[in-house]
Amino acid sequence: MTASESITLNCAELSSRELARKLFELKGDSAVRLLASPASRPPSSLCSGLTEHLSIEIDGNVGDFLYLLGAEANIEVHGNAGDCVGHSMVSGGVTVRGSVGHSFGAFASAGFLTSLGQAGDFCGRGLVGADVFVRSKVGSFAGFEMLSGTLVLGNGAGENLGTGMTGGVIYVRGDVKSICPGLRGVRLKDADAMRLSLLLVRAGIKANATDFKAFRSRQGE
Amino acid sequence: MNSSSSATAILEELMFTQAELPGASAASSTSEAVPVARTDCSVAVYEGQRKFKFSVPYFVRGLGRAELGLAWSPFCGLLRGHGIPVFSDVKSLEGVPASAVPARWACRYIDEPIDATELKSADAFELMCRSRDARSWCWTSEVGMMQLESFVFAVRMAAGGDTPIGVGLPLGCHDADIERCVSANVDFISLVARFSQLDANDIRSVIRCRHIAQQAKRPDLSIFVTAPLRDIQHAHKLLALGATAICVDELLLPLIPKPNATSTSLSANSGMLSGISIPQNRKPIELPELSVMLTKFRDELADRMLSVGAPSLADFNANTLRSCTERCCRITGVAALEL
Repeated sequence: MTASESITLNCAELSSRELARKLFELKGDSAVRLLASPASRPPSSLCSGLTEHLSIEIDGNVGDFLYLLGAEANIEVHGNAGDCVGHSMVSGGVTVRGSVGHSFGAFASAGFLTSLGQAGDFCGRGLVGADVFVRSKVGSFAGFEMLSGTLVLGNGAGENLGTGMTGGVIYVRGDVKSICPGLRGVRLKDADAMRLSLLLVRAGIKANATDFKAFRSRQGE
Repeated sequence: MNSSSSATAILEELMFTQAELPGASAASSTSEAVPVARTDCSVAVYEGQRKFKFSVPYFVRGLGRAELGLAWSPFCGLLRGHGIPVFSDVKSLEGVPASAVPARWACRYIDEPIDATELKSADAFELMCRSRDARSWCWTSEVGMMQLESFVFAVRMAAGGDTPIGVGLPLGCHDADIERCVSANVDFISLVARFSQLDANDIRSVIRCRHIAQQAKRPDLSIFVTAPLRDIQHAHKLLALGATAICVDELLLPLIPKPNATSTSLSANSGMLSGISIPQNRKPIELPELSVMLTKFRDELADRMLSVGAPSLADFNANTLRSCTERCCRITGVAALEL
């Protein structure tokens, strides 16, 4: 296949393995449109291990483990996504226009993950450097065992925010049901506000950074 | 009798059946060739092309650079020469000459990210149901009960599609956990002893694992067993009971030279010594006893297989064993010895 190609693939017509092979064969800077049929089960494990600079748009809902261990590619989902989106992600970006399941961005080491809907429990679990943004509500245990990186929650947080967190920062706008004892609210510094503003712009959200509260682990004190 | 001695006793209470010696006609039909048993085995990738091959059904799991020091590199060369894979991370193999690097498998604990380098350069990859920090066995909440198949598939695709992906479970685990792995289309199941001594349930879980794989129409599913075995005959019996390959760490450990802390730190070329070149007038380390032992392991297994009439490991199964006691028969399901 030639570089800078633009192709459309129908997920319902290909097996998961065939679909993965076709994506692996694509050269950098290609644009791909994946059609996920609403009639069939949302395809799981899509785009796992991709390392080319691809631009991928997915029409429809996708299943679990979207873009596991992915690098370089930018993915936009026009629908909802399952659990563990961006698991162990290395770089690139994922934008989900709908809601995502649990463990959104789990163990992601770099890149940017956005959900414009809600997220389930364990959002940003074990983050090791990536930036994760959720516009609407998230479940319990957001930022669980987070080591570094940034978690931005646009509409409050559920219970046990930051359990086991040892590094990184969580920004929350709205109410937090409960935070773990190892977490503390900190004053939003100028550097925080600037960084947060940039992340909000990147996510395409009009919001004021000063509306957010910052939470860090007490272990860093 | 405590649990550990009962586990050892169960293995002792199993005996191999003796096959008839090959007759003259059989020998002449193979041009007077000496009969040999094939000790090689392999792990196939589900719906894939590649196979992860072993020359003998043994592997090394818990011996690394820390345990061997300067002997690590020659040890790796020895394993490669004997076709024995090693469980190691990439960093531990840095500095080992390319010609001495054995087949490698790597793992990911549940509370860690998947490392792209580890995954993509491994000959096989294990998803351990174990927390490295908490040192406890459990299913990770991010994978859950229902998503193991998707997770295994995603990891397999991220590895390139042709690397065997397996799950690490504790030896003696519940049947439901094994069933979950088999139904998730894993390429292998790795059963790792929880404790420093075996018990009867550990042996039973190997048998159950093979039984479940056969019931699920996956008779070739590879089962690796990491257990504290101190007798190679016990390894033979576990192979016959359903294991595909056995960890031989405990058997090799007495022959491993203790690392010399001083020489290791000098050779590390680190800290204040990093700018100073140290003369390398040390004699290369040789491991003749280990080499002899590994050859002996292979030959003894081949002899054992021939003695029970099993030309390959696929034929080396529980039918070649007999239980000497009623208790052993009840626990293992192996037919009782008839006089």
